[in-house]
Amino acid sequence: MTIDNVILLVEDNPRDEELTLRALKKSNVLNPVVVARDGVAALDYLFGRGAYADRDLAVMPQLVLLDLKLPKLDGLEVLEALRTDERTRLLPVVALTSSVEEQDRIRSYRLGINSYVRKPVDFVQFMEAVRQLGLYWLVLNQPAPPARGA
Amino acid sequence: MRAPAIAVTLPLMTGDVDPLGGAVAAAPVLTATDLQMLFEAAPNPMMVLAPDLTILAATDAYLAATLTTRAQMIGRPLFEVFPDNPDDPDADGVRNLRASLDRVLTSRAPDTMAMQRYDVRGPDGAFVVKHWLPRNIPVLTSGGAVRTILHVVSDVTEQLRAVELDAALAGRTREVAHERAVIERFFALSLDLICVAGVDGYFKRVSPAFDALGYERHEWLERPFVEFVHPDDRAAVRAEVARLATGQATVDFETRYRCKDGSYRWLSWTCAPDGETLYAIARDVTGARETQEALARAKEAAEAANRELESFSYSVAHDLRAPLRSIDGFSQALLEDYADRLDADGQKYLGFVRGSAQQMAQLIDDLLALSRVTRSELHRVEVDLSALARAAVLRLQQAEPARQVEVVIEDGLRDRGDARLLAVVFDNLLGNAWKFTSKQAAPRIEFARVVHEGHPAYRVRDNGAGFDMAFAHKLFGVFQRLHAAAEFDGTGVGLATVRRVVARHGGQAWAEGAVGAGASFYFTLGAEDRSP
Repeated sequence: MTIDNVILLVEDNPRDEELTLRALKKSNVLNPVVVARDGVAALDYLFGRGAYADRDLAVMPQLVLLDLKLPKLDGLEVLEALRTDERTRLLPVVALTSSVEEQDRIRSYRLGINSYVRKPVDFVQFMEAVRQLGLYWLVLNQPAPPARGA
Repeated sequence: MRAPAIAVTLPLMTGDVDPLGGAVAAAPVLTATDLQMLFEAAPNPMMVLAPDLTILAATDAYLAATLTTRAQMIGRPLFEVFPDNPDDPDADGVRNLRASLDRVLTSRAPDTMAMQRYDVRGPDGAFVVKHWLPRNIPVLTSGGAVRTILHVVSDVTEQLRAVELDAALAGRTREVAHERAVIERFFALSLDLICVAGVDGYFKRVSPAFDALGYERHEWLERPFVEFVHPDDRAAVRAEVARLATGQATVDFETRYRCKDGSYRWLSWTCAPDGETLYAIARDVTGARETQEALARAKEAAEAANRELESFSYSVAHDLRAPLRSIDGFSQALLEDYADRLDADGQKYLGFVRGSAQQMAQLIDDLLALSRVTRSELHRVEVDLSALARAAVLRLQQAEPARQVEVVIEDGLRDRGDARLLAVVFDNLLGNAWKFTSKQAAPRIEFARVVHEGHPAYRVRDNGAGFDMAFAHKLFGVFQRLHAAAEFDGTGVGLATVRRVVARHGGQAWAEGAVGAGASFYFTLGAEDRSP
């Protein structure tokens, strides 16, 4: 049985990863989470390369939570690669980042981000943000039908 | 008095004897007709007048000189035939000739007139300019009365024209000499470098201004001029000369010339070709160039600093917050997961840790906002300040719906400014007013345009906690706070941001207040510079 409700968390900071996972758990988001620690790992997972060469590409994550500042390929480069590939073009991607710099927001939306959320420092607020994200993107939102022929 | 008809019969040569002793044929006798024909054939322009100035006879030469036919003049009064030129307002021929003839009639002696302009009518009726030397000679009867007057003239029109031409030429020569002197002086005195060069690559002549580069005047002419040019500029100079050789002018062509002492000067050339010859003027723009280069370097340095600040801010935005999130998040995790192993103090201290982390996050945000104010470009447009103020108040009210504050905003306040930066001003000023009136029973906040010490200014006034004017100068400094954090929270960056936004608009910000009696914050937006 394939798991089709994976959340791909692209996050290089292990403490932020831990906090995000904690927030998801505390918000009763029980979807399996795959963590990619840099941009290359994220694309490897999505396109079945490297460590994920055996992955079933018919199944795509239900949601990608994308940090912007990442080693190797940064978040915006990952986003660009996703949006230029037919298999991932319609994937819901939410930027989950520290930055509210205008340039990051503009470029993210230009490249087709679905949502842009700042990680609050206050963990209570952070948890609330993750809870709302989970509720919206995993429950309320109806994703595009999966790409065929992949 | 009728003019007498002239009939001359003179036996001129009646000699029968040839002085050489040869046989002689009988000489013919000249008839009056002969004499008339002889007179008419005489090469000088002459005319015979009766004492009443009727024209009696004229030589063919006279007819030719006056462009008249015999039929037009014989038997007619002199001044009918030869009136003044009506187109010449200065014409005095009739008057002067009449005076001369009167003198002859009176004195019965010849009268020579000064050179006289006396225009005559051509066959087409148009007057032709003529200059004459006339002489009037009386022919007397045996009794001594004036029988006729012989009017003899020389037509000097052509000679005069030649003389005038000479004079004009002489004048022109003087003018040319003068112009040349002016040009020479100009050449000698010009502070710009003036020269004549050839497309062969040599200077032909250089002005004294070239001396500034340290060479003797002759040195300039002895070498191809490109040798004086900085090696890096030579290709460009050769290309420019090639262009000039095709007849195109050069304007503001800047190139470095080597001085005798080895230094270089920037010369800006303007050059016009005329065949093989180039006429050129150069200005020493070294000073301007150096200023320009210094400016460019300063600008580059400023831009580099700005880029550095940009990337610094970017790093701050991303990286400084992450550890704070860990501090706060894991403190919260401790509080949640290990509450049973922490006593009240332990929990309180973790609360302090979280509070500090959050305060620092706020500080970072405020500092970034302050730096953004400096970094972002100013886009001045017509802005509705009243609407900006109302929007800021709305945000405050939404954040604290329970608070009841009387807000009075003057309508229709418009000015030119950057709407986004001015929104930051209102967020801070109205946010402060909102914050510092929180302990008032009847809080009131106003925004209006007022006249402050004779000048228009915008004012945000509240009836809140106020401040001690002794510290007013510290209000707008970064991290300066006049209230203890326990009393009113804040980072002390807001008013510094306000001042910076206002300063970027060319305006000023200042404050008035008293402890417990509210505060008034004033600002202007460079109203002096605005066009009406």
